[in-house]
Amino acid sequence: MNVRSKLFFGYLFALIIYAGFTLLPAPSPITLAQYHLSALELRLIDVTIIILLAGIWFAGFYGYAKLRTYSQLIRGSKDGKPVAWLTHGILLLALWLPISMVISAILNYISLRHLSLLPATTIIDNYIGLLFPLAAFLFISKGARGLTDLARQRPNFWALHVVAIVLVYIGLIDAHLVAATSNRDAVYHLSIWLILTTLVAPYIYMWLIGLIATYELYRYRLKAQGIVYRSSWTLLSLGMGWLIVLSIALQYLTTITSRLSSLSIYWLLIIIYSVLLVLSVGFILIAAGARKLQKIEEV
Amino acid sequence: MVTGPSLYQEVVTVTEHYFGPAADRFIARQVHNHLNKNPEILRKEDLAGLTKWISLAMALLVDDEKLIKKYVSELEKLVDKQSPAK
Repeated sequence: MNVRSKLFFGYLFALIIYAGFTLLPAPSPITLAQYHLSALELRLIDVTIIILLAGIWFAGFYGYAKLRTYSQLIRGSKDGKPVAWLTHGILLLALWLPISMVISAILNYISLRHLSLLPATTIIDNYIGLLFPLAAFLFISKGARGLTDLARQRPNFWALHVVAIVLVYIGLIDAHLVAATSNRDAVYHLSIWLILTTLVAPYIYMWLIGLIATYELYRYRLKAQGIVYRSSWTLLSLGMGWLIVLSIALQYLTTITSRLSSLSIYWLLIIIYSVLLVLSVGFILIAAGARKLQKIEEV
Repeated sequence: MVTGPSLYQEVVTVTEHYFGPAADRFIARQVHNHLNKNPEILRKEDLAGLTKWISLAMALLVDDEKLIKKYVSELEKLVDKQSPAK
C-alpha cells in the first residue's frame, strides 16, 4: 500500500472512530439541560462539527501529501533536506488534530462512565494536545533554519528581539489566564506549578520556535534566488505562520473554556465553527503553496 | 588552458535568477525531456529549441509576460555570445 492510500485509510479510520465515540453514546443530561437542547439537536450539531472536522483533516493530509511529493522530487538537491524536515513537521501538524481529537473523544467516553478517571483523562488529553504541535514545530524550525542557511540569511537582530518581546507578553497573558481561571481544576486537574512548568512553558517555547521558523521562512521567501521560486514560497510560509498564530489562539481558548461555558449555544457554535474554518485556511494555504512548488518541478 | 563554463552551466546561471535552487533541475528536465539529450552536451544549435520549450514551461507557471520575455531575451543573448566573431 503506498503512502497516499495509507494516509487516506488512516483518515477514514480516524473519522469513523471519532464519529462513533461522539455520536453513539447517550449525550450527557447535564449538557442537554445547560444548553436547552434535545438529544437529537445535540447530535445534529455534532454531525455539523464532524463534517467540518472531516474537511480540515482532509486539508491537513492533502497539504502534507502535496509537500511530500515536492520533497521527493527534490530529494537529491541542496534544498531537499530542509524541505524534508518541513514535510515531517507538516505531517505531525496534520496528524495532531485527528489523533488528539480521537483520543479526546475516547477519553471523554471513558470519563463519562468512570468519573474517577476524569482527572487522568483530562491530563492525558492536555499533554497529547501539546506534544504533536511541539514536535511539529521543532521539525519545521529545523527545516526553516536549513533554508535560511542555504540562502545565507541570518535572522535580523531586531526582528528576533521583537519576536522575543511579543512572546514574553503572550506568555504572561497565558500564565495570567491559567492562574486566574476560576475553574482551573476542571480544565487541567494539575497544580498551578505543574501547569506552568509542564504546559504553559512548553507552549511558549513552541510558539517561540514556531514564530522564528515562520519569520525565517518569510525571510527565505524574500531573499532566496529565483523570482518564480520565491513567489511559490509565499503561500507555504503564510500557511505555517497562520497555524502558529492559531495555535496561540487555541491555547488561549483552552484556558478560558470555563468562562465560555456560560455563553449561549449560539455563541459557542459561532466560536467553534469560526475556529474550525480559520484552522482549515492554514492547511489550505500550505497545500496551495506546495502545489505551486511541485508544479515548478514537473513542467 | 583555462576553459569557460559550459553552455549548460551558462543557461543554468541565467535561469537561477528565475528559479533559484530549482534552476538546475528545471533546465536538466527541459533538455532531457524535449531535446532528448544529456544536459552537459548542450550545444549552441540546441539553444533556439530549448528557449522555445522554456518559454512554454514558464507560461504554465507565471502570467507575467514581461518576465517571460526578459528571461527569453537573456537566453537569446547566450546564443549571440556563443556565435563565433565575424
